Parts: sequence; C-alpha cells; structure tokens
Amino acid sequence: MAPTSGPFLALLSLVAVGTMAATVLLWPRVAGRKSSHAAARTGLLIATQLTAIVAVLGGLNSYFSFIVSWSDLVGTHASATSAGGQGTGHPPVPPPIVVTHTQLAAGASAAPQPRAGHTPAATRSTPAAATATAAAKGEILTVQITGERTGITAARSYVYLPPQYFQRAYAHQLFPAVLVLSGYPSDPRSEITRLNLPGVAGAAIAAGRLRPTVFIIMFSSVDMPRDTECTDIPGGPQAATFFAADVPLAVERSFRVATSADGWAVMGDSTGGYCAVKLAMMHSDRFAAAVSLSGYYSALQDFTTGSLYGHSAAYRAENDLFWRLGHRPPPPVSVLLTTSRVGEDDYQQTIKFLRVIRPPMHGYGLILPSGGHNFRTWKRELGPALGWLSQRLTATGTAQPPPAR
Amino acid sequence: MGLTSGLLIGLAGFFAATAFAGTLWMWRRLASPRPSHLLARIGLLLWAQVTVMLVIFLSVNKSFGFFASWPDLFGTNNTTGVIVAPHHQSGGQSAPIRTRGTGALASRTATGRSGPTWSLTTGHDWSRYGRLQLVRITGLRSGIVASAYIYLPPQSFSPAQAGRTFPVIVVISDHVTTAGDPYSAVSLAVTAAAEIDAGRARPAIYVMVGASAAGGTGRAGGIGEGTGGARGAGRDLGCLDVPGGPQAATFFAQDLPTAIESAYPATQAPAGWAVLGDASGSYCALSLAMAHSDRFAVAAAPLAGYGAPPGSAGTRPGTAGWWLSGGSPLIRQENDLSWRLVNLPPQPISLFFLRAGQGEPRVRSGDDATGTPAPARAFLSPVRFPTHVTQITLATGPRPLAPALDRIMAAVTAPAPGSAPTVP
Repeated sequence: MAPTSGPFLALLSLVAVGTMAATVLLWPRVAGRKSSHAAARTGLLIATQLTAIVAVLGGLNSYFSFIVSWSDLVGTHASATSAGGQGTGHPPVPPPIVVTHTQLAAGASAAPQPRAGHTPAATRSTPAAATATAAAKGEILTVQITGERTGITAARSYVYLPPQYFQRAYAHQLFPAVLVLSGYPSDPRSEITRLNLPGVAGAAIAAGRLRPTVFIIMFSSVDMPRDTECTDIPGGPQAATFFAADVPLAVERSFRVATSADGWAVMGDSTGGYCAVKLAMMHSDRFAAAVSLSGYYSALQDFTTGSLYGHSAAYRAENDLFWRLGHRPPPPVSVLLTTSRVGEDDYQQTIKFLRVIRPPMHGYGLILPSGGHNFRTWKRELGPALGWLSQRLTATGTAQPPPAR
Repeated sequence: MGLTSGLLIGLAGFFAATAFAGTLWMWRRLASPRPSHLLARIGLLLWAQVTVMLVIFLSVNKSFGFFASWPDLFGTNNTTGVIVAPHHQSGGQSAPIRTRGTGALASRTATGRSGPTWSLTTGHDWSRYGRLQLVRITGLRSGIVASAYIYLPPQSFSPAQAGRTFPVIVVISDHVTTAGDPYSAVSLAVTAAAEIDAGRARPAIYVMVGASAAGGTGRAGGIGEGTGGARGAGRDLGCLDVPGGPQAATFFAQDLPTAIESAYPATQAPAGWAVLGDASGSYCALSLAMAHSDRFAVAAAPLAGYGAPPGSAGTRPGTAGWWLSGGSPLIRQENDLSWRLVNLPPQPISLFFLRAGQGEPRVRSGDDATGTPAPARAFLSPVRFPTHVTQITLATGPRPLAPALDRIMAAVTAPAPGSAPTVP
C-alpha cells in the first residue's frame, strides 16, 4: 500500500471520520464535571483534529508527489555498493539502463502500470507497429539507471524520446540530451504529469523552437530519505559523480545522443536547480548549459541532508556556488536562472548571482512578476527555457551505423 | 489580504484557538441526544478542524513559498517573463593550447649496428615518424597552466586518414625534461615512434606533463609541512582537487582532455584515454583512473612509487595531509587508493604495474615485487571485476618502456562515438 495509493488515503480518511463519529457519540459520556472528563474532552478534540490533519496531509502528499514510496522514508541502503563481487569468475554486470515500461508520449498523464524486470527487447511485442506510432508521438520509457562507478541505482527514472528519434530521416542522428532533476522531496514523474515536460517539449519541437532532444528525468536525491544535494559525499554516496559521469556515459551507450559537452545540458527545479548549476559549473567538460528553475546557490546542510561535506569547511565552500564564482576560474558554461519578484525567497540572491558571473561563463535570467515555488510557475517558464537551451546545444553528429552482425 | 501575509495567519490562528476553546466550553451544554445538539457537535468539531488546518496550510505555504498569491493558488496567474542577459563583457578567453616549439623524429640505420638509431630533428617531415611539440596548456577550469610535450604519430598527418581519431596516453613524470631518462619526452617519443613504425604499438597521441603541474599553478608547486601554506619545493601532490586549494584533478581530468580534443585528432571516448606515471607520478596516474574512470580507462605506473596518500606526514591540523583533504578524515580516506580499491565499487579500468627487467634498474628505485611498499600491496591481491590488474616487465636496452607502451595501446580502444546503442 503505497503512501499515495487510493487504499491508503481511504484508510486515513476512514480513521479521521471514525474518530469524529466516536467523538460525537461519546460526547455525552464525558460531559461531567470530573477532571477526568475534562481531560477526556480535550483528548477527544485533539484526536479529531490530528486524524483529520493526517488525512489531509496524505491527500496533499499524493497531489504534490512528495513522498511516493515507504522506502523514501526508511531508505534502501542495500543497493548502495553491491555492484560486482569477489571470487572466481566474473559476476554478470547489470546493464547500466534497464527499461521497465514503455508508453507513448501523448498519453503521458495516464498512470503507467510498471511491469518489473522486462528487458528492452521484451517491452515491444509488435516492433514495427509500435515504432510507427512512436514516430508520430515519441515515447516515454520508465528506466532504472545503475551507476557503474558509484554503485548508485536510480529506479523511477524516465527517458523521453522525441518522435524524430523513431523517424527514418533521423536514423543516424545523434540527439542533444538534457538531464532533468526534480527537487527534494519529489517524484520525478511530476516532471511528466505536472510540468508536462514531454508535452511542452514535443510542441516546441513541432513548432521548430527546440531541436529534437532526448530528456532524462531523474530524482535529485540518490539516497532517500536523505537529501544528497548532488554532492560527492565523503564517506557516502558519490552523487555528483553519478550524475556527471555515470548517467551521461550510460545514456550515451544506450541511446543515440551526443557525446560531447555541447550536446548536453542539465536542468532542474528547486534542489534540482541548485544541482543543475553546480553540476554544470563543476563539470563543464560534460555539460555546456544549465537551467535552474527556482534554485538556490548555497551549500545546504540541515536535518534532511545529514553531514554532506565530511566536516570540512573548505569542501563545503567548494559546493557553494557564490564561493566558486569568487574563488575559481569561471567555467565555460551558460546558465539560465528563473525566479519571481513576488513569491520566491531567492530573488535577491539570483539577481546578485547573475551580476557576479564573468566570461567565459554566461548568465541569463528569466524573472516573472509573481509566482510561487510550484509547478504552475515552472510550467510558465518551461517554454522559454527550452528555446534558450536549444540555442546552446549546438552539437551535430551522426552515429556510425551499427556493425553488421 | 495576501495569501502569505502574517495578518491572515494571525486571523486563522485566532479562529482556531477560539474554535478549540469554544468547543470545550460548549461541550456540557450540547451533551443531550437531541438531533439539534448532535448537529451542533458535528458543526463545532468541523469548524475546529478546518481552522486548525487553515493555520497549518498558511504557515507551511508561507515558509516554503509554494503559492505566492491567490491567483497562484487558483491557477489564474498567467504572467510571463522574458529572458534577460545582464551586461556580457566579451570574453578574454585565451586559447587552451599554445605551441612553443616543434621538432620531427628521424631514424637512421648506421652501418655495423644492429638497429636504427633515433633522433629529434628540426625537419618538417612529420608524416614519416611523427612530430614532437612543446606546448603550453592553460586550464580554463582549474586555472593551472602547464608546459607539455605532445607527440603526434605519423598517421595523424596522412591525408588518406583525415577524420581518424587516435587514443591518447597522458604521461606524468618529474623527468619529462631529464635528458636520457626513459620518461623524458624525447625518449618516450622515440620509443613510441619506433614501436608504431615496427607495428608493435597502435598509433596514439602522447601528452607528457611534469608532475609538478599537480602542485597547482605551474610554478614549483607544493606545500610546506607543518605550515599548511601553498609553498615549498615541487612535491607530488597526487593530482588531487584540494578543497580550497589547487585543482589538479580538474586540470588533468577536464582541462587537459578538452584542450587536447580541441586541438588534435584525439578520441573523446574514455576507453581511448590512458595515463602513465613514473615513480614521481604513480599516485597521480592511479588516482586519475580510479577516481575519474569516465576520462581514463587505463593507468600504468611502477608500484614502487606508490606511497598513499600524498602528504602522509599525518592528519593533524597544519600538516600536509590535513591540508590536502580539507581537514576531513573522510576525504583523506577517499584519497587512499588502496582503501578505494577495497571499499568502493570496482571501477571499469585496467591497471598496469611496471617492474624492471632482470638486472636493469632503469626505472628508478626498487620497482620489483619484493620492493612493493606496504600501501600498494592491496593492488597485488585479487581485485574485483571489472577492474583488471596486470604486471608488465620492462625491457632491457635503450627503450625500456617499449613493452609498456605496446600493452597500454592494446588495452585502449577508440570506438566511434555513438556506435551501436544498446536500448531501442
């Protein structure tokens, strides 16, 4: 019973309604003058409020997709460093990308029915027919990405392949790739269901505002319930290496995407926005551009992150984007930062950040008059952001035809 | 009244408090089984629930900034913005590679000798045996500037092979300019030219850099023990990104490859990049492959030179070890390559350990198995797939590194980019 599932929400509602009914019915029995009755009254009233609050929070959590599985709360540490084994013989190395579900992009908002354990070949029963439809609509693959170097596994990741990916004219084309990182806590699927990234991208491609581009959609935290902030954590998960080395190389190996920095960008909202700018600034050999939707610039450390910097003030400073601008050579990347004059706390910081950027780094701002820290705001910013990205992803290349078998 | 105004939250708080207190106050007067009392109870409870939830919603929304205003909440905020670029000064970006000298390699067979002798000439016939160049590499990201020798194989000058890309060997050694040393640029270029000419090694681009580049800014880098200051004679700082200090890993793993790829026909595939160190650059070479296997798939070094991690004097504040790891024992642990080998996922790399041939102490102190320093022993125990460890015995004679270059070139591959995607 997932925390966002109907049965679970029904259970919470049932508890709330039951507590309420019990209070109404038991009301006369605790109406006496005794102090025990007074205490019982207060207890009953608080119980009705708490159960109602829990039910509403459950509904909001489901609506906003903050925490979508119980393992997000308790963590799944088993997968952290299990790659490879000792002894004789080579254990089978898991493929870096496993496709668990395929759907057409047009029906993106319908909930998928993940079928676990499928290999890429098994997902399509009628390849020719499926490809014909995919060539018109594009595809969204549900994938699991395993980091060869870091041992990190990111289930619940998605790959959007534009219609052109399946068209004959593009059969040997290498596509630009954009890594999209969702905030903390969140379900990366929100980028599809609430931001409608495939829909907006598909429309922008059809209108000629965006070159056909492959999007890889992932959750910015790699070690739930912990917020890892895309940091190579001393003694912990190497999240930066995962996103800057493992994921691009795995995607390059599995899909026809560009292999040079001028064909790769990284984009994200909130924590994902901080991640995007940091990954681009620290790994400008891998990403040429970054889009930060309502991101921040400081090296966060709080109760959700735990110790991220090995108790080193110097290493924490390296992860502070303002510090980097002041103390490191400006890297050759372009960044687009979005914020709102009313509704975002990061407005002043963003303006200040844009002012201190020096070439060869280039900063651009997209500032709305008003808009809060939510997907509706980001949806308004997405169209212009994709157009901006398209101008920066200049890689051109063709794939060699696969060797004859 | 704005959605995030304190007044609104205060008002909601007032309602919640009065609803709570009022319910308790009214409790005893509504305790009869009459339907009107039953309805009044339900109404009071609902009002108490709604008001307390309003307080929670408004406070949480204000603190996280989810919705900025009423139109934002009801989805009627359709304001848009345009992308603005603040004053962009034109970039005074210097070219990452500047050439400072060039020579051609030549071969001559003298009568009465068993093999040809090789030399560096000022000629321009590069298409026969290749070209050796002295360049200056400017690290855009690290700020490190270093001199480097570049050997380009004759095949890279062949018009018939235009568009072909070559694997790259990055050599890190203190002896790049030491005449007669096997790791000197001229010796390496001659060895490479001879092996390529004889068909024993695949053609590759060699980039030969002084180990002192790992110390920082190109001047004799290093740090004084016990002071933590960035000074001292050229020491092996291990090609690390020092928190708050020189970013040598960034130089070798990002600046150098992108510079070389922009100026020469070098492959972009990590499987086509190798790094070779002598005793002075062995930690460097191994750490680059182990921590940056997305750039270097192969590393080769004499194991004897490996004393890990650099600055072993200690980790007390003020010592080199402390400074190199940003004062963090956890970072210091990650800089320990034998710890990485055992505790981190095995990297997709091939490691070659070089040992001197019989009676030929050519490659500096004690690089045989018995002389293996304690910190390096982990590399000689079985390692986990996909990491591979192989020992190479160096040759006797004028070109001891020849077998190493042959083996390294057999290990690197330069597949065409984007070939054979595995999914769809």
